Amino acid sequence: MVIKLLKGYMFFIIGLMLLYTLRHFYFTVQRLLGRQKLYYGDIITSRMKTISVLIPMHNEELVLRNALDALLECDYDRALMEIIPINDHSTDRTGEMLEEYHSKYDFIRPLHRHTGRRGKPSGLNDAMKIAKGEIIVVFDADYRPARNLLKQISLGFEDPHVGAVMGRVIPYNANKNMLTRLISLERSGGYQVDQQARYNLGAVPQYGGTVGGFRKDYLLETGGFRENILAEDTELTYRLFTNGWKVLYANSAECYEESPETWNIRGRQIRRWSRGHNQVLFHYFFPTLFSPYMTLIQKLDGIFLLFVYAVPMFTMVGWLVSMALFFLGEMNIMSGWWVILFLGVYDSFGNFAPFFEVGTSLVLDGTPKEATLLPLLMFNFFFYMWHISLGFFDAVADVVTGRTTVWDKTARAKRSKEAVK
Amino acid sequence: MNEMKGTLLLFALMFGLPLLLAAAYCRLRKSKVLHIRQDYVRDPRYFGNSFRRMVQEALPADAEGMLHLSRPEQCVFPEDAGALAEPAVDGLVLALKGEFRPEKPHVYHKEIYCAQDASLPAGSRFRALCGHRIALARDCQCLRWVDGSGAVTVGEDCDLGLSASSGKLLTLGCRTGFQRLYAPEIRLAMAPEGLPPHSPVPVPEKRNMPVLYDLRNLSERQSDSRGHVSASLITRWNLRILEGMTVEGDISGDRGVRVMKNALVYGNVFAGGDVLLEEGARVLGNVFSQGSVRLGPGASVGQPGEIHSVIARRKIYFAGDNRVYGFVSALRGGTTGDRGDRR
Repeated sequence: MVIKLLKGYMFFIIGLMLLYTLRHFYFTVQRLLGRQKLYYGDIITSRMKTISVLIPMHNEELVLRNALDALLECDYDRALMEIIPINDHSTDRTGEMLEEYHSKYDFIRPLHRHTGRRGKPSGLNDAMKIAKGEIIVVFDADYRPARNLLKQISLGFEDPHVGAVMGRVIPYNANKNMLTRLISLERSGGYQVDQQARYNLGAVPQYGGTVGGFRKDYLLETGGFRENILAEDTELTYRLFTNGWKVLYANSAECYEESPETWNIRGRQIRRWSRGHNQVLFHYFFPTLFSPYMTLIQKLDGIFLLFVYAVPMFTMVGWLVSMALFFLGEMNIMSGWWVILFLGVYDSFGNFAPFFEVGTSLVLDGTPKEATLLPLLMFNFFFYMWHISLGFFDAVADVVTGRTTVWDKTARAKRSKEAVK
Repeated sequence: MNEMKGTLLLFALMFGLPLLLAAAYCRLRKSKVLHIRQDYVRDPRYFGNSFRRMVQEALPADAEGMLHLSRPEQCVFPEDAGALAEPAVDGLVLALKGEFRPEKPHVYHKEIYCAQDASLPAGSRFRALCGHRIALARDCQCLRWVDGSGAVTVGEDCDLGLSASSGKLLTLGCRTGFQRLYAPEIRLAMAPEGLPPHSPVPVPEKRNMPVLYDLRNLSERQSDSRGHVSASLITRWNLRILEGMTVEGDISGDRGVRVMKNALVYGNVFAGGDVLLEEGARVLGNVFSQGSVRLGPGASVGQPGEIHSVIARRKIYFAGDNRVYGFVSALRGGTTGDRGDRR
């Protein structure tokens, strides 16, 4: 009985990996050869929306000037915008520095939070209550928006069907070490190919929580961000799609960010993402399946996307199972032409399916030589598998115990504006 | 045994070599951080404005008639005797004194800079042209761009290249091709007598406007006694706004949108498919299509005093007597119609 179960699991994992391989391959081919949808960034209009730019900050004295100075350079009509930096329980000079900005610029209105729950969702919820703009645009404190970025994001909301807009993130510290270079490759594949292909296909482009915006009124009407969910961005994506809204991806709305520079920080970040994403999986699996608003391709892509942070855990268990079967002498679970399935899975393992996307994105971005680094992504693969699995079990524990989650902020490297340039 | 060793060696090489190569590459070569133009600001008259700025900063030309732009350019001064004697003009034309009005058509291989007005005769070919007021007679061909700080008038059967723009008024004759147009007011294939200009319509605040989902036809059933619908429309289907209706909100359709005769949309129209504005239809906001856009006779987009856009991923066709207040862009090009077939 146990052997049968183990063999059954092997079939499951083979099928799962093949499906995800096909998915990545399809996105890649679509991006290379398929019809590319236009984003609304070319629109010129004199009726722009009012926006509130929210920047969650917890001890950000090292980087906050970069973001605020860049925002002050933006070409958005200042009568239509305000900036609300959220000083979230900071213990360094963040609050003091924000007050200096406020004294110079009326439309920079810091929100100081010293009581209540700490974390991005809670901070955004409080800030939205005082925000005057129709559209909320969110940046992290280490981001450096280009001059036209606010306009690019805001234009998406001219379409009444659009609930959120997501821009593209580009790491500026890619050259720091091997980790940052590999993160840069992942970012490239994730945005240039994965997100754009989803947008082209009318599937589920994901709102990523920063370098993007959403409609304030809708979010407030539906109770704001759920403070216990650590992936508030993914939760918003699914809330929007399951209720008849669209998310747009704007590949040309680019913004620099700082990537984590140590494996320890990256591991904690990935674990938090995995925990939050899997919380969303548990909440939105059935609403996605049964939403009357989502098209078939949106449901299909939505379900695949929901399981993205569960699959590495399934794969890890699959390896343990295959080893157990091997030592029990029960590995002969397929024969004849079925072996092709094994080969397919082996191939997708060897290529780590997202490689298709990363390689293609490097060509599209004009940096094809960086593809030489692709084999090194193997290290990330194993590293992520472990931390994503931990995050999965965190999320399961969250659901079972109903415990309160605590936001684990990603630590910043000390980086001056000159170094950024 | 040897076979086993060979297999293991082959495996180790196939597994290890790509890693070694990647590690060496990582150590020896720095990554290229993708460049974002941090200072980029959209300017629909970019070509003309930046060229004007470049020329004005580089003036005057040196004794040998060279102007130092991004590289030295031989200049042609039209006021010089015999400057335009040949049918082909190879240098950069600098019309600094008086209007530029060549009598015969020429082929200008470089840009034309006019400090004042410019008027090119029928059949002229040029790379780019900037000036104050500009008039292009019929059958002119522009390779790159034309920009006027004053009114720009383009005759029939012209090709406007990549971009045509004006600071005031851009008028296009029939059967004229374009890719991008910009002006506070653009008149397209309009008869000499023209249609009277539109009077501005006050557009109410749209925030929190109700939404009607998945309609295929918008008819009197959804409207008030005036034929007005105070809602935005979102639909997965082809949508028709029936004759004479007024939509006070925006429209977003996953497929085609057809705004029928004399219908009015206060907001924007977004469509996954084609957009058709029939005779006399008006959209006061933007029109954006992932397919093509076609404006019937007398249809218009935008209104005086505001700037809006008509953008199509494929083509745009203006049947005639059309007005757009702002920006027009068609990835696969657009054209104005022939008055003969507009009805």
